[in-house]
Amino acid sequence: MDIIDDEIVSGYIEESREHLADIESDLLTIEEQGADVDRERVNKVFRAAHSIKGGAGFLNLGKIKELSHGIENVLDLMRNGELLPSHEVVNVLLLSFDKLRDLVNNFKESEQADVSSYVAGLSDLTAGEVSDGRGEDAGTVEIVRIPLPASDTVMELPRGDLECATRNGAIIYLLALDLIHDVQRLWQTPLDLIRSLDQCGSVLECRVAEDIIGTLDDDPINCIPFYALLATELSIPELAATLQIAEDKIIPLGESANPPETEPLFQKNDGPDSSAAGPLFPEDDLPVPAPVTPRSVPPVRLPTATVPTRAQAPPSFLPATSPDQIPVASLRPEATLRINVSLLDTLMNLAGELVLSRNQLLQAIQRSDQAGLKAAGHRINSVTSELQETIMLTRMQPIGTIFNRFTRVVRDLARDLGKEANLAISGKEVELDKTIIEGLSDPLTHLIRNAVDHGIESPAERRRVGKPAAGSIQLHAFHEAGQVIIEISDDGRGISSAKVAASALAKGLITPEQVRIMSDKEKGFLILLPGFSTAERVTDISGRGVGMDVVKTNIEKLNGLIDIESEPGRGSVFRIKLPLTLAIIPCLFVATGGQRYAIPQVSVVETIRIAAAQVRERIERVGDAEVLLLRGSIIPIIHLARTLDVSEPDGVSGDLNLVVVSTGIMQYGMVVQHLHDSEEIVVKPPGRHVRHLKEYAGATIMGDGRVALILDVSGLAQVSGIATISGAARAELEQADSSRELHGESRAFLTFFNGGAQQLAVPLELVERIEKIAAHQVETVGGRRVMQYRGQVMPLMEIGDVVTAGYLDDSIEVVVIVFVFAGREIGLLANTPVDSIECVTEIDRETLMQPGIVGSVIFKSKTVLIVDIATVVESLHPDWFLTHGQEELPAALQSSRSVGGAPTILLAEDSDFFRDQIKRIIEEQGYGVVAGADGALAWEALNENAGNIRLVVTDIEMPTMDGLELTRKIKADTRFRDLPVISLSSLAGDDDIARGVDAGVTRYLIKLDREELIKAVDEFYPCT
Amino acid sequence: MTTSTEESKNIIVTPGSNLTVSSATELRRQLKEFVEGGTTVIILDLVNVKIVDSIGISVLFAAHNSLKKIGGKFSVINVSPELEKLFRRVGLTMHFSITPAE
Repeated sequence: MDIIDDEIVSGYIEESREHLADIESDLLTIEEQGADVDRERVNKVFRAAHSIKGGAGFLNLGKIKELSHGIENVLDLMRNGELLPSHEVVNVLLLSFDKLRDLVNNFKESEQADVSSYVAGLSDLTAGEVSDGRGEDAGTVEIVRIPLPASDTVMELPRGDLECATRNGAIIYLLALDLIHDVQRLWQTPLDLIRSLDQCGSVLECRVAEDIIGTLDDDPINCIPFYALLATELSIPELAATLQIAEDKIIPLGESANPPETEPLFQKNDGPDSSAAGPLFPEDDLPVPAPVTPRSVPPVRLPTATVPTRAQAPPSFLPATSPDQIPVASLRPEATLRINVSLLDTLMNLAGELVLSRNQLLQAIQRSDQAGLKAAGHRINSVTSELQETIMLTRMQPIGTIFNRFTRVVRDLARDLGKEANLAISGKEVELDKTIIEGLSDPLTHLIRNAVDHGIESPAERRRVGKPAAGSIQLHAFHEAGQVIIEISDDGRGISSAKVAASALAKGLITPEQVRIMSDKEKGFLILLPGFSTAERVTDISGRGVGMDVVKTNIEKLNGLIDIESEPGRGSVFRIKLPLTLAIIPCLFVATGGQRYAIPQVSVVETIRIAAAQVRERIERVGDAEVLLLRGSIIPIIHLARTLDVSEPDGVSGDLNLVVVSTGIMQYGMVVQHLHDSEEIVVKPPGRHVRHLKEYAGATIMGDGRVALILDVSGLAQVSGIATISGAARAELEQADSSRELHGESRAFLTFFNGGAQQLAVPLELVERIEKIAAHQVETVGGRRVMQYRGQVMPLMEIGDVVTAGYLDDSIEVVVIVFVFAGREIGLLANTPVDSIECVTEIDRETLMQPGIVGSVIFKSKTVLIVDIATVVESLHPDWFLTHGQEELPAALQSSRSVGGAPTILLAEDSDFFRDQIKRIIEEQGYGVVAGADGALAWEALNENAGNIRLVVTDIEMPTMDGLELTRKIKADTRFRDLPVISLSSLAGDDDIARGVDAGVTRYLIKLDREELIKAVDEFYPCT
Repeated sequence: MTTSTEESKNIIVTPGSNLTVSSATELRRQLKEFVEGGTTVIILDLVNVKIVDSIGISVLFAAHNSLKKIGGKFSVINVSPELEKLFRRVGLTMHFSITPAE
């Protein structure tokens, strides 16, 4: 047959691919099991080869048939236990299957292909076994013949097929039917019968007894015998009921060795009755010679090679294994899809319902029946969503289909590279859209190869660093928050960010300036740049021109994100985040300049509205770009209208709507005019005229018929050039982080304004409360400003009263910052915005010193003046400090707080500024204080005032001797061990506290809080 | 019901409708006439046929058996995929050439 129906061929090709899909992992398992091989698994592979061979024979695909036959022979030996699945044997099989897959995929050219080397290699294996004297008939398929009752026809099928069919507890039945009685009378066609049979179990073979039918010359017959060999778990009565046939037409094959010869089922039209049928299922003594060498198969070669030599050297026919031949062809996407019949039924039902609803709708329209319209609308709504869901289901496929082949990839690659690696796969059952699965194939292959090639070290190197010789690679898929995450992790050497950066620098991909400001993580991401390859030598395996940039592009094409985590020496994790499906994605709608845009929900981190008043405070400029301060991190922002060059919304001073989006590598904020709902949208690819625009990922049609463009968040970042800013900003942050680590502590300040642009700050711990007030609440009484506050009159002041730092701007919101000094409340008037900042106190105590200003700090490249609030209060109310402190304290207490005027509290604190602050706070309570600038100095001071000190207040992080050591020293000294020790620290971890308590700290204060400190001092100061 | 084109000893028979009980009997009669008239090669064009029932199948087998007996050849062309599946499953393909529709 020369002309072949496309549909049949494509059916065959698809079936063959399906057969081939699992073979690799099966073969690898077989190899692993060695002598304890699981027969069923071998059988499975055997069946696959057999089916491919069968179809190839039918379609006249000679080469495919020849090759699959060769494979079949080897597998047959294997399942009979006559050939051990050694490494080399499996290798030959794997390569042959590769070739076979290649042939199947290119079946049109398959006839021109040369398979002789493969076939020779395969028959070498079978011949080798013959040389072992395992039997003459090795390498052939054992055919079982089943004579059919009342007919000359004989069914022939491989014994393997029969055996396989009965594995799962199925019984093989021979159905002897009559196409006239059992089919025609029921108004069925033969095709209906075959379909019913397919539903009952697996049909091994069907035959019509053509000899019974006779010729045209014979009278038309009233029976057409039809035989089917069916493997099923159903019992005879069940089968009879399902197929609507009499029970006596079902003959169990395995049990009865003889067919019911006594009553011939059919009368032959000519010739004598044939009742010479032999046993149906010949076991040992087959009446008909069982082993039949199938036609068109080259004769098994005579022994030429011996087993041992083959075991050492790879078979000569192996084309010098170049890694390029590792199954690339197999990654081709498939054009057809197999789906569950029940799913199709559901679809049909839904389609039917849709039609009904449409009819309802049409009728309602015709009658202008509002209620009817509404009902029909509801119905169409629900049917459509159900239909959509079901349709999406048809596209969902388990990801295992592509995971399986990686076992092979890892195995082959590791061997080629002289490494050892094991691949652990989990989450095979996670389902993803077919398109995504196909698109993932290449990136995953690349990542897996990279893991073996670049990640896993050589066994020697691994042993040296104390890791097991065999590296482990894990491929893990799982659901998370409506998305699918795929992780490829290895326990190899990890990515050296320095090396990556150096390499990128050497290749001219980035500038030294950029490297300087990059975080380690960002350096890791450099491997995703086009033209990058970390391998010092470009290997055949991973470094072949296509790099990680292709991986990134491919994943982004799937609306996915890739993240890299790596720990040098410990391994790397590549994490791919994917939407479940491409066709329909949830999106957040935003609007700017009168246009609506959709942002894929997967990219949206959060949405923020910044009130107009806060804009100045939350958004800062770094260089010529704006950044947003968000919970301690700095993220760059873009104005969507500006980036897309659409008319900008007016009302610049209004509230800002921000969408914080993530590209996987970085986050940035997008200023938009309006935030709308989140909706599920159907993605349409962008038109040709906008396809080159990086800003857009596609378009969609909204419910009202308007078109909305879908934004590409990475594209937008690129276009607006914020990638580098983010680096800079982050570098700044990290610098802050690292300096924090150096000095150990950060201090909190409350910043505010006082007219003008000068930012001022007071230590946060001094602040009692912040109250928003209206201008009219401030009264001027006797030349002094006061306000009624909590039923009392509270004096007010402003910085300008004392310090030359401008005056309050009444047009801006005013707040009162409430402090307590000497038991009295006093309010400081200040302009908003107020903010609390945390910074490392490198307080410059010289440059900007003036009365009331204790120094300055640089915070985010701005100078902030630190107000010495106590001095300010003192200069305004000198009387408070002179009298109150002493008067208010009872005399007894007064005397107890300083012993003969000598200090009774030891304070250890390295920061001059805070030492002064704390000292003042404690002194205000009437205690005498002696202070040391570090633990060692404090220790000295303690020894000098040995008899007087009653309490110790110490910072933890200090140079020379830290607070913990000081405490331990105190506790170890018999003179001092009863002294209570209060520690002040910003180290708030449980461990830190535990360490403190361990050292003997009596009270661990986490931050410098004025009230807390006073309370603690009062509590622990020993009463006399 | 059936039309036929004659080219020497080869005959292409094109049934006009599905091969079911009534038409199949008619076809059988016609084919029989051709064979009796000395035709050795019969090509059955199923271009108009969507359904073949049990009787239809028996006619195909009978035609094959008849021609085989006299050393002739019976083949079927323009078989729809559905029918091709049926023919393959009941074993018709083992006996004579079946060419699927283009």
